[in-house]
Amino acid sequence: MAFDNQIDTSEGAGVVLLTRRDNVKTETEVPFVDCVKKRLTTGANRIVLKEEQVFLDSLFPWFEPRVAPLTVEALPDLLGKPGVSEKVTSAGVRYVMWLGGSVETKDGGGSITCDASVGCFGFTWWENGATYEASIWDLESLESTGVISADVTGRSYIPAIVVPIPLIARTKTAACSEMAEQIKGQFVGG
Amino acid sequence: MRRQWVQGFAIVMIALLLTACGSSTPRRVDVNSDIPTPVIDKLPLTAGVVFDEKLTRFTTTEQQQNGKKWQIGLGNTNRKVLNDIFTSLFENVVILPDAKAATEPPENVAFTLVPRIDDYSMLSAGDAGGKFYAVSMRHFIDIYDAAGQRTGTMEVNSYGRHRKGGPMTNGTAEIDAATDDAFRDLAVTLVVELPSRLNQSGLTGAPDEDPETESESTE
Repeated sequence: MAFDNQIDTSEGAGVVLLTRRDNVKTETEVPFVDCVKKRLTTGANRIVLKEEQVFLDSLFPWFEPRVAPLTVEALPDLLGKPGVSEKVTSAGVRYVMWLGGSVETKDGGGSITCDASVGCFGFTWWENGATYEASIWDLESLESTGVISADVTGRSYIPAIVVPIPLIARTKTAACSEMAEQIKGQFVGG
Repeated sequence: MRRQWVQGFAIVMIALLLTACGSSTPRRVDVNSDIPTPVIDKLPLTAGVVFDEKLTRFTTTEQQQNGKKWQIGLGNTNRKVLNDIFTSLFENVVILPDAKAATEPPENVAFTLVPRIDDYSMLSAGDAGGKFYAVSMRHFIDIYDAAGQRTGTMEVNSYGRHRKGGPMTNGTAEIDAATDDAFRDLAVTLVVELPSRLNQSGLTGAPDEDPETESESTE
């Protein structure tokens, strides 16, 4: 986490959460994005988010994966294009929050053997690592407001004595919760 | 009597089900994509455009490894999306009847664009061993100048994908959505790259963007 100041959205400075889709292999899963959005927009210190698809359509094609800015340094050039700055203003968006990351299976082992007459026997396990990052850009000052990251590791087990019993680590849920809480902590007055 | 009727009905239903499952008749997908209005300034030019029948009636048959087939109609969308892009890019668009007209364009036309679709491929989530249906398309845009001379061809490769739905899905909706995504990608490339391509060919009447030429002219 690298925030110097909290972000004040009390004066109608809108926030939109966009999903990074420029890398097919590490594209953030829709359920994870939905989970973060749901946690951000509900409960204590909730943030009002602008609709992602509406924002993408209203600024087409400038935030599409093929041409979307990858760094905050590309913002002046983007906002200098005809009509873009006006569209951002009319969309009521000041902060763009890019969400990226994914879950990878890091390690695993064991085996289970199943037979129709006696059932399943054995033990298997694997370890998942969830790494997610949210970068927040201020479209007014054209600066990065900060980067929030959530790294969660979870080990899942399936012991099988006749019947397999999956004990699955809720890695994504934990990462979603951690990410949403950290983001919420940076916004005030939403 | 009633029992015989029920048995007969069940046999007919099972036969129909088996016929449907084993049928090699392709499922039909008629793609009707839409793109948002791009945030750009129109070039103050009149563009001629030819939409030939091969483009506007384009249909392809795609087959999965398990034998399942889809007949995918792209003709309507080819015309609609390309027309929307061109009318967003240029002040005036004149639709010309055929490719021959591109070589003898009307006087007010600055250049003529003749789009073609060269390839469409679909990979189902099952065949790809992943969670997504993927679509790739290749279009070519032949560019003719005001004198009717062909100055070049722009190649546009577009990609789209859509996450596989639940277990009851037959893939039709995913193919449709992935193709929508690919047309959106096509629009992005054309909106961003076509104006500079036309400029490089000297067809927009804009000054040369080459920095060396610019510095020479200012000295």
